[in-house]
Amino acid sequence: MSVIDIHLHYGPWYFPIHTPSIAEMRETLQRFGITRGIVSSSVALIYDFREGNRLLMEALAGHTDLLGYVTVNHNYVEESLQELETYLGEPNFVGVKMHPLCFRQPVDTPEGRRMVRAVAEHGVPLLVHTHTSSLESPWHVVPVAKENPSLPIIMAHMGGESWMEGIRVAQEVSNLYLEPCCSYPDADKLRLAVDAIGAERILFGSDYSLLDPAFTLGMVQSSGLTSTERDLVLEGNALRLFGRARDVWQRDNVRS
Amino acid sequence: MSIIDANTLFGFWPYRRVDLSPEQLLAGMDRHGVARAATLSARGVLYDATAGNDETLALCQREPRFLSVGTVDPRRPGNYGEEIARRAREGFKFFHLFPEHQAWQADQPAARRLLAALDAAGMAVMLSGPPGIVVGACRGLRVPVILAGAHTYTLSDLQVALEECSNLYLETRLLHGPEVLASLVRQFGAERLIYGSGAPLLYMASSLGLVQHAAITEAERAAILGGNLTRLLGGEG
Repeated sequence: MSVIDIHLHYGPWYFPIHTPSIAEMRETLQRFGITRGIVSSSVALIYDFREGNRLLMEALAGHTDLLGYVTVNHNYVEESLQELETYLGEPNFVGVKMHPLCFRQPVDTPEGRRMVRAVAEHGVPLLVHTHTSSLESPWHVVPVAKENPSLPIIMAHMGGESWMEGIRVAQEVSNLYLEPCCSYPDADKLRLAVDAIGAERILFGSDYSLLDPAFTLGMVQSSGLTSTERDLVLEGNALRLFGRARDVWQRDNVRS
Repeated sequence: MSIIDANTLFGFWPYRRVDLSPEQLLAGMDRHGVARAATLSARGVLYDATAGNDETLALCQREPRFLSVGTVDPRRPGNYGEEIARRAREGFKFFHLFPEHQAWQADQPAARRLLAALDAAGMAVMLSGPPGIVVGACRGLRVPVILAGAHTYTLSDLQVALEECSNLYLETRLLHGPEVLASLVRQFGAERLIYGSGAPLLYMASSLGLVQHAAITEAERAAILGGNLTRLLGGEG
């Protein structure tokens, strides 16, 4: 099994944990069978999104196993629209990341809606952080998903501690997808998610370099999924959704 | 290597549909190669500590792979010492307190009295909470204190707490930052870390994978996965 990790981070955190280089990231991920992934910048989320996108582009140069998300900050709509133009013209940026908690603004505000509409026009998937507080609730994602039915929106952390809300939300709108990494490894949540919306709409993400890949892989491996379901979650769905990434990986024969 | 899980429970869980039966717990242990598990009844966590302790005793007398863990809810006034002494006589191994489910913190007056009673009885204690509050409340105790759910995001506090409190141990379940376990082993030794999963409420494989994949020696891994708990409980595992 060759795993695709659609929720990776590059750059330092404010916790006393090691900041891996891209080479170290690759080495760690490969120990877990993760051969490809899509990365966002920690600097972009915590501080300056433009600086973070730039540092990520520099770090990813020459590496097509690891591709990038453009991070947009919907407090800075015009600048974010420019970031989309700049980076989605690059072959190694294949999706967009939004983080309502980091930027203290839900995704369904007028600014958020404008941002999501622009992402849809670019035709790449959107990874949206969802978690437990009202600001980051999965329910905020519903309006923007309904307004942009052709846009695949992946709810990172599937709502965190509110993962049952994440599943309910995904049941309401067919272009919503779930990604399970978080500090709440509640048993059964993946099985319940698959039963509710189908394995075709769940993607594996580890949150590395913030979390150890063993943590979320453990959820997938012990969730009682069939091998077909597990293959979809760990690889197949990412290949289907991230068409630009699939093309790059096929072109460069990146698999293992 | 004989794996012992320091943090499991059984019973009923009202907050979501989940199978917390002892059979489910045993099946998970078998799937993941866990030999024994310290366990207690969810009744004692959520409703009635004494009745829960009775259920725990009954289960552990029936199934030798389970180690009996007691609990007390400090919101209920009572003679903590009497309940602790009774459970000690019955062979309970340590006490696990649940401030996160009972809406109290370790520095509140009743909680401090309960901790003092556990200390007087020589009974090790596991509890959760912000490291500062737990460490503050446990300072001066002689018994081992295991911080349940010690979280990567509080790592700098945990490091200081381990330096300041020689009787503090960390449950490993949420030390899920990359290389965090190995780093703590290098700084403080493997003997300060105790494997616990929260199963069957939580995926056992998530917490187990963290220890199994950590860049530490096999002896250190064995200590975390069971040796340390056995030592803390006086050689009984």
